[in-house]
Amino acid sequence: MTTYLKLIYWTMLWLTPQQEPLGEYWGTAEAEAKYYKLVDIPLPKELSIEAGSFEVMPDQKQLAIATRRGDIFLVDGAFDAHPEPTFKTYASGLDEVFGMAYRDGSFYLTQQTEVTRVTDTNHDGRADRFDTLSDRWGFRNYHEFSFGSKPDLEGNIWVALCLSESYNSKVPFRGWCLKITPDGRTIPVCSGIRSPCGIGPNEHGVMFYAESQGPWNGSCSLKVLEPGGFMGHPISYNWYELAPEMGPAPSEPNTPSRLEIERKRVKELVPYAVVFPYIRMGRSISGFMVDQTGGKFGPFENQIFIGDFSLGVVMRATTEKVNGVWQGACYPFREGFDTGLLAVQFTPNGSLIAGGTNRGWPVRGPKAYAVQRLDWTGLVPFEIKEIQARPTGFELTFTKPVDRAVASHPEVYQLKTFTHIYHEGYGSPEVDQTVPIATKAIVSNDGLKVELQVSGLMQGHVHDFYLPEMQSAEGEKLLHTSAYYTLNEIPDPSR
Amino acid sequence: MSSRLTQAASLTRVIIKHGGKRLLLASLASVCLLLCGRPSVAQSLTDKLSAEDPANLAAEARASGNIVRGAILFHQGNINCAKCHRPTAASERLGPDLSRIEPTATDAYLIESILQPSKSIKAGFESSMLLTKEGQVYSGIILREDAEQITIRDVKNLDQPFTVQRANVDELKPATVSSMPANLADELKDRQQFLDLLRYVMDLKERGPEETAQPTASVVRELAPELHGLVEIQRRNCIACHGADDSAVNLTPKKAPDLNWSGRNLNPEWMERFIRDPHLVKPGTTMPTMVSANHEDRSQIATAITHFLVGKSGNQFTAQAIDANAAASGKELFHTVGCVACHVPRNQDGSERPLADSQALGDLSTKYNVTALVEFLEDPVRVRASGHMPNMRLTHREAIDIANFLLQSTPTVVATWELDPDLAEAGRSLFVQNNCHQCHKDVVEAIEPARKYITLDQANPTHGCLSQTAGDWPDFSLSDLERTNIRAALASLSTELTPAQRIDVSLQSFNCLACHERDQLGGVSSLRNPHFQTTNLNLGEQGRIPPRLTGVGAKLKPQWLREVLVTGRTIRPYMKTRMPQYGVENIEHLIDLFQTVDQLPETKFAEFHEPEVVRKKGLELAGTNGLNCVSCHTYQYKLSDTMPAVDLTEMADRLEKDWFYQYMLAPQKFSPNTVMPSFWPRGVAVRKDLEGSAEEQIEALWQYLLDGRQAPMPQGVVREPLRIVVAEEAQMLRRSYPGIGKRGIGVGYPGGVNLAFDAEQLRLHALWTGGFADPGGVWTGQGAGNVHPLGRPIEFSKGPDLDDQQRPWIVDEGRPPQHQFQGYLLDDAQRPTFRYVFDSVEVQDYFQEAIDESNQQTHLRRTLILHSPNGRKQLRFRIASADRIVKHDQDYAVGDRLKVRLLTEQQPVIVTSESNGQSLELHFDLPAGDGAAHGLAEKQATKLVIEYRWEAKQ
Repeated sequence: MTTYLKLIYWTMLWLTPQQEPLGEYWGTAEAEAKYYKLVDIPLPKELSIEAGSFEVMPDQKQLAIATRRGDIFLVDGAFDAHPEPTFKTYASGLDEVFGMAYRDGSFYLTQQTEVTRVTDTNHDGRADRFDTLSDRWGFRNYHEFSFGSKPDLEGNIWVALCLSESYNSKVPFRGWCLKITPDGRTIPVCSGIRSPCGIGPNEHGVMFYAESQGPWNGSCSLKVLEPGGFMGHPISYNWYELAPEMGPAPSEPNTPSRLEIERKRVKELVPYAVVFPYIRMGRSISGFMVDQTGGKFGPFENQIFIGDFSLGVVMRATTEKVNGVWQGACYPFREGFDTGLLAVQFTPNGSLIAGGTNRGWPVRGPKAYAVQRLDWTGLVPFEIKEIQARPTGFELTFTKPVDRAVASHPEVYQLKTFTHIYHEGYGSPEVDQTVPIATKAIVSNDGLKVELQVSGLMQGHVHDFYLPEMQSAEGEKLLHTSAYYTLNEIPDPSR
Repeated sequence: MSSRLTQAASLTRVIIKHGGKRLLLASLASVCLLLCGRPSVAQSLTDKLSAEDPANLAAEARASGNIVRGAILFHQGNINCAKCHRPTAASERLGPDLSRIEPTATDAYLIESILQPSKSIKAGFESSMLLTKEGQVYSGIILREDAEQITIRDVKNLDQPFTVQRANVDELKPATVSSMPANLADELKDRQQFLDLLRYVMDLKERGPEETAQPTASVVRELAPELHGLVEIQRRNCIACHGADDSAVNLTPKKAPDLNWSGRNLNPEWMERFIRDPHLVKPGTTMPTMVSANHEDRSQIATAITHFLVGKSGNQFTAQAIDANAAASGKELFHTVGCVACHVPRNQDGSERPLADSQALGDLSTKYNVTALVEFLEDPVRVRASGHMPNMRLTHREAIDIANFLLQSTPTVVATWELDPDLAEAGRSLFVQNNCHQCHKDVVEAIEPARKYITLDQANPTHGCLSQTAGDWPDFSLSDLERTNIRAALASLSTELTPAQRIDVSLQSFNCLACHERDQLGGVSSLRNPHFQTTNLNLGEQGRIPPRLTGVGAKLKPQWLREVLVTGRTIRPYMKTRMPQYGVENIEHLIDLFQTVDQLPETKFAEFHEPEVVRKKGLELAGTNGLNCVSCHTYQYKLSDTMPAVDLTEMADRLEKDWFYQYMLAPQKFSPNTVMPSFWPRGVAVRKDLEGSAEEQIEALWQYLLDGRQAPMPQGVVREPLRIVVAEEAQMLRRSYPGIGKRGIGVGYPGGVNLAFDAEQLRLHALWTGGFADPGGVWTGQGAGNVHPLGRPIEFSKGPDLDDQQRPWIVDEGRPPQHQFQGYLLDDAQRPTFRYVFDSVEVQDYFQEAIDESNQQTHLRRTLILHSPNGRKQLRFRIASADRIVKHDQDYAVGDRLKVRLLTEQQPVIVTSESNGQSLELHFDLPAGDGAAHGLAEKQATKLVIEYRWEAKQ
């Protein structure tokens, strides 16, 4: 392809999704509302609160909201049963804050330009000291968004850096993840990022990020930020010379190919851990957080809850390390948010705050920006709680005991698989479809687990589960009948 | 306009009071003057136009008048011709239907009629003046008059005709002036607007009359008695006792109120009274009086049952104080959100103002306390699953306000009420004996009814509870009409309803008809009409009266209809009355029924081949140079200047395409209240685009709207200008500024002095006076632009201000390798002190606004503190740069707009570079200092103080 043709091709691919309809609803919002209720956090009319990041303050009562416009608000009353919150401006004038944590009396912010420690030294309720911890990355294009984690156990903030215009890497470290230590050192972690929209630990404390569909990414996915790894988009190879400790740049992946093939060729290539099938499971997955509320948010303790910017939904994900490789599943959870979600945050009461804006990109939902809260009503929905890989199939865990008779039928588990083309073009259709057969379903004594034996497991494929017939012991149907497991590795029984 | 009208009216009254009725005519003339607004200082537009040759004006209108603009003018703003000339029901009109003017009427006649309306008044539209004995003056068209009274439609209040008793009329006489105000043309902006309007009026006349909705507003449909009866049977849940016989095909069990909730929350004393005498305590209730004629017995039974219910749930009722402030806001809410669509309006103290056809509330203050009523109001359907009291989508605060308003007369003393376990036990048996459990489920375990009743199809329509006598049956306190209707329903019990009838029954049952009209059934009654309010009067009736449901199944997509009915989605922020929620199970059947019943005649769609081209055309048509949809419609939350009509970017999500086509061709056929003009009157396009094809133009708009929220912004939608305003404190915004990479920091200081600092190259980039900044480029869309300084920036050269004198960094777009930004501190007025490092030199760089005593001008004073632990030789600091720098005494003129002075003792030099003009620099060595910069021992740190002043001439 000539450069010119390539340009047209890319432009077309880039334009196409803009004009697609946003996709069908799951159609489950009404049923979901019985279990998880959406509560509005009313925002003052005179402020544009386009939330980009949240934090709970140490008093466990105050919510901090950082915004795209660059403000930090301290909010009292956001956790009340009937919120009538009051807002105080703590800091302003910042640049698109997509990462915020409060530790030892200071905020640690990730904004476009840098990671900043922000302190109110005279305790008047407003920040007065802004210390640049690191601005070692280049920043020359507005689309070079920076997403920062909350500090890890050593206090490091991990920053995922979007490509220039989301296609190129024109200034240092665009497309890389950098780790910023508490004393301001900057350590390159990995290359190959395209367009991140969320970063944080998975349920095992390992740092992951949310990647968007685009070049070299067939669909949105959660990926592990493996130190020394390569996340799949080779345009950022030119910065290895600035990071000698990372060794030489990996070899170039072939295009078009498959991740499963290329990851054997390019040893640094980290495959996507959890694929979110495009449109069915969001269009731009975003901020995520692990439920560590001790059961206050319902039966999904220790699972990842992740928002979506385009469709205003929250989904669940679980991960596991199999044969040394991270993989896992995603599950629909709650739709019907009022705007595009950029960030989520669990509250001390065990609710989930979610918020964002529709600014700049196609977004479903009636509001230009919003902050909402999802409260568990105390009722447990009948759901596929988790899927894990097994050497000859999968183990499915449910939130309630299943109807043993129904669940013992292998035909109840309708399986399909697919993968994506791994290539430099934008996105990918779902390809290489297969239909594996569930051969045996063994229900555990407590009725909560089903050991599923499957003929035709496809390594490297997303396994699409569809269980419309499944029934709980009480006769309920599943609230969501689908789930998607990304099978990078089939567990080796000897390991 | 409305305030001007009010003013005019009150002024008129004053004149009359003082001058007597001889002044009547004069004062009316002043009404017209006031109506027309602008005092004519210079020659008015009307005068100018009147002086012109009508033939020329007409010719010019035909040549350059814009029909589309004219149509919009005709329907909106201060001129609003449509208000009087709108061609719906003739009886509603104050002026002639312009589409029915004799074809012989000349252009000159039209011009004269607009400019001098009183010169020739069209027969049938002569206006009258009426003076009442109280001194009220009405001027307008007589609608009706008889021996008793006169009804007049007054120009001052078109929506509400006044009826005056003849006995109260002081004087009635024909007016010599038209009810159309003179000088109306003065409301137009300019001559071109007149030409546009004239062109539209000519077009109206030439096209002739349009298809309209109802020829007469008076045809009203009534629900058939058997359908009314069905609603009555359903409301009283007759089938609970009379068996769900197969023949009762149209009936479903009704869910009665949750008595566990009542037992927990209501005043037990009230429960006793209500169970004993339901119709006395709450007139109109569907709860029957129990089978026991004896008041004494009923009293004992009621007490026992109350003890049973209270004992079962654990009563929490206590008297609670009323919050007067909450009650005051509650009053406003109660009368605007829609409560009074069914209930009666109330006075300030909460007492009721009786109104026919209302759902009685009874004395709420003896029934609820605030907590209980709030809990009920927040989700009534949870307590009363039947959904007849719907969820009004009140916030918690709103529920509190309304509860306080409704409970204002709470008795201060609540009788102490002791639970008697024996009575409660007896109450349980009585509850079952009286068949209460047949309607109120979930109170006792499911058991057979205590007494069997005949099935409904066997019922004798003159016996039992349908007879007018008391006896061994519950008493429903039926009115004669209700009884007649129920008998009619029983007679046709086994006839299955048609889908259209099922809709009618549901609309009647849930009282949707109190707000909505469907096929001439129901609609807002004249008595409740004033309680339907809007936030924007420009939208006319459409802005306050809920939409017609005629054809709604053909109009709305099922998913959207579901969102409206189930999740309360709304697209009419201007309508104060809310669409309530009735509970999914109660209402969702309507979605399918509407779809089934409502069908549109076949639509001829335009064919097209290039969607991109068509969509672009649609975008053009939506904008000011096309059909100007954005002059009224909201685009992506951005309200139009005139009115917040429905958001364009939600149309395609809501509407069926064929409905859209047909509506566009004749809006008033579908929505008689609409202020929307047709741009294709009689199916013919007013614009020539797409070869003047109505279908192709509509298709283009539809294709454009299909992009929904992603639809690009049409021309004419003005983004609200964003301004960061500086008051007492400095304002700061880190973002991209013209001439800086992305690490810019703008600061606006009090007094209107501003700067942009480059935190990557560590330099002062620009200075300007005036407003601080417009962040539109970075706070809208994806944020791809720059922050725009609201002044004329003076810009300086690129590259760091502080550098090595001999080997400075060779400037490019990137980052200097030995410089590092470290952040900033804010002082009490939010002014930043930038902190940065070059090599071993630490710098604090602080700007502050300062006022020059001599001329009161504000300038900027920059203070730098530099130190280096081991010292640093051969430094260069650039104070400013320009094409040319000239020294005058202590000052340096930098370019022709800036004056710089160094207040510390260092000596600047002017350096000329070959390519880059001149710069004012300090060349110096920094002695070693221990870095205790704040302490500022002079030997350890170097301090520079620089003043930047603007030249007075600018």
